[in-house]
Amino acid sequence: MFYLLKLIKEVELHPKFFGPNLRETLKNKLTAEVEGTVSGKYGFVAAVPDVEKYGQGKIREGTGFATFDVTYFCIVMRPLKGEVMDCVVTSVNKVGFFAEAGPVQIFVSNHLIPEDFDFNAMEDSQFVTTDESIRIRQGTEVRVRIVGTRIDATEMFCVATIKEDFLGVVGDPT
Amino acid sequence: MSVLSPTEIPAPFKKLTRLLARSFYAQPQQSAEEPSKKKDSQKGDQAGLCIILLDALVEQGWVAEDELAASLQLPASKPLRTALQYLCKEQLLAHETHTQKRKRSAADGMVSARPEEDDDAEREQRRPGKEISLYCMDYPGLLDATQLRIHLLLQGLRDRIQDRAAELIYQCPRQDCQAVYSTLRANELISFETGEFHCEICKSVLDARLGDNVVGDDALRRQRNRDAKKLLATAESQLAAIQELVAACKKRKPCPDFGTFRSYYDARRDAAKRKATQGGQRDGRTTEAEIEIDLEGHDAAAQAQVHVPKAQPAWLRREGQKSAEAAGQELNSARTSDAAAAAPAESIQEEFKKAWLAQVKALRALPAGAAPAATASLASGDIKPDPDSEVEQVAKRSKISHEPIKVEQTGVADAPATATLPDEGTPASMPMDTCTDHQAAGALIEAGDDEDWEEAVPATTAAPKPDDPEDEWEDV
Repeated sequence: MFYLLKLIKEVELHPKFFGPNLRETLKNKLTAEVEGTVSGKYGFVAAVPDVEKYGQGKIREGTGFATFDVTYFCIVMRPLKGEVMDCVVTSVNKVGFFAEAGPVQIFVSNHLIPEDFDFNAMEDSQFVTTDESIRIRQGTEVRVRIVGTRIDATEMFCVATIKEDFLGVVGDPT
Repeated sequence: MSVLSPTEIPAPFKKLTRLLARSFYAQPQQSAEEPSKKKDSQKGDQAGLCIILLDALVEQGWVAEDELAASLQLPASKPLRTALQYLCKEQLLAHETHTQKRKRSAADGMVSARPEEDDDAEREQRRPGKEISLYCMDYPGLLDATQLRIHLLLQGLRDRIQDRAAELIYQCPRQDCQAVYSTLRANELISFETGEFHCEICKSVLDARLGDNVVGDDALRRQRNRDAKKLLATAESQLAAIQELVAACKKRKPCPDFGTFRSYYDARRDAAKRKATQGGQRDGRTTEAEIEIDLEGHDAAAQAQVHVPKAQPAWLRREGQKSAEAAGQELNSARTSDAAAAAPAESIQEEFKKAWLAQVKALRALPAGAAPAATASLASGDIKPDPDSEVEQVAKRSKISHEPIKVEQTGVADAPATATLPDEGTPASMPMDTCTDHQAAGALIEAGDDEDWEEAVPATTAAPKPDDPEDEWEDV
């Protein structure tokens, strides 16, 4: 799920940027530092749409660098237990399959795949239904429900299920 | 909660109890936590014991353990108690323990000459009384326990089939490693070459933990799943009979309940009393006749005493009254003798009228000065103070004596005399302007200054009220 948050970050700026485009430079630096990172508290920071306030710069003694307290808005993504999301299968093996939904990596264990799917290692690794009408292989779009999350300081990992009504394959690459 | 007699228990409850006894509670089971102490041969001795106990208890309310054992011709032994406790623990039976008070024998009350005997008596008293264990069927508990057990059993099987556990636990099969991982770390454990999870420490392929102490691969998991489905179908078919009975029992509301032993015992005692009183009324002896007799006696006695004059204060007494009192006493004695003879009410009234006339005549025969006042006081009870009587004279005297003092103290004749008048003893709170003659007299009586009034004090409270005969008789 996505959230819009207002956060404060201390941004350090080289003295060479002290000039007419200081604020733009600050915003670029902030975006480069924040976007794409995972914070254990808030989740994955997807974007910085706006900066609310640039604080007064303080010059550090000895280095000449200035630090600014920047108050900014950001869009964060945080997967929650019970959330249903669409994802793309990245790899299939006999213990289950891995999928990705943007920055989130998802694993669906074989005990959370319906009983009528069987693992087929003969050709391309895939889960196939007994009537061979539905296949789960690399690139398949799958709708899953998240049943467990693990968010570390640097990565997010989820365990999901497709063993429910209205979950499963929603699109095939072929 | 309704306290029932065992005969009122609906049939489905009895049938359910018997069915459960035969299905699940045939003999006491050792719980998983408790280590089994007994040998198998000893266990076999108790086979069917719980069935016998439950069948017996279904037909009874609260029953003592000893009585139960006697009625079943079982020895009151440890296996019996174990079986009963097992059934209590399974919430089929309710249990209460009562201590029977030790009966105090006659010898205990006597003081013995020797000190050792005293010690024995004390020790005997301190010894706790006999404990009695009481048991009865706990139908609400039985119904709840049965429903919960069946629900948990079926739910467990359904969960096993659906296999909805969010995280699957993986375990390293190596005896010296035994590392445990969950699917939340799948991305760290997976080896994309083999497509399997590998232990981070020893790199061996991990096994999934499928259930309680069962470790295996996907094939085993599927096999277990199929077994669970079969088991669920079997369980549902076999439990159908019990579930039907449970549904029938649930429709019967309120659920039969014997309540506590105290409430059960009280209800039984009340029922027995009611039965006894109903039986007594059929004898034909009604209490109405007794009531009639009582009323007659009371009326006669009351009528006999109606017009006995009340003791009057000395200051109201006249010579004529004294003679009237004496006449009344004579009359009273005559009437009571009449009442004692149990004459009919009409004849008593006739007698009374005659006596009344005789009394009036006697009063008229008295000297002319005293007679009118006395007759008036007796006939109407309307006693007005005679202007020449002692009361009036004393009151006037007191008034006259107050006046000079009042004028001297206040200087204003109209001002209320709220100051204390120690000489005369009038209460300070009583204003003299509002004080009537009678009140002044009363004040004097309270103060007790006048010797004549001291004698009259007890009589002042008894002002005659002939309209209210009961009040009159109270003081007689």
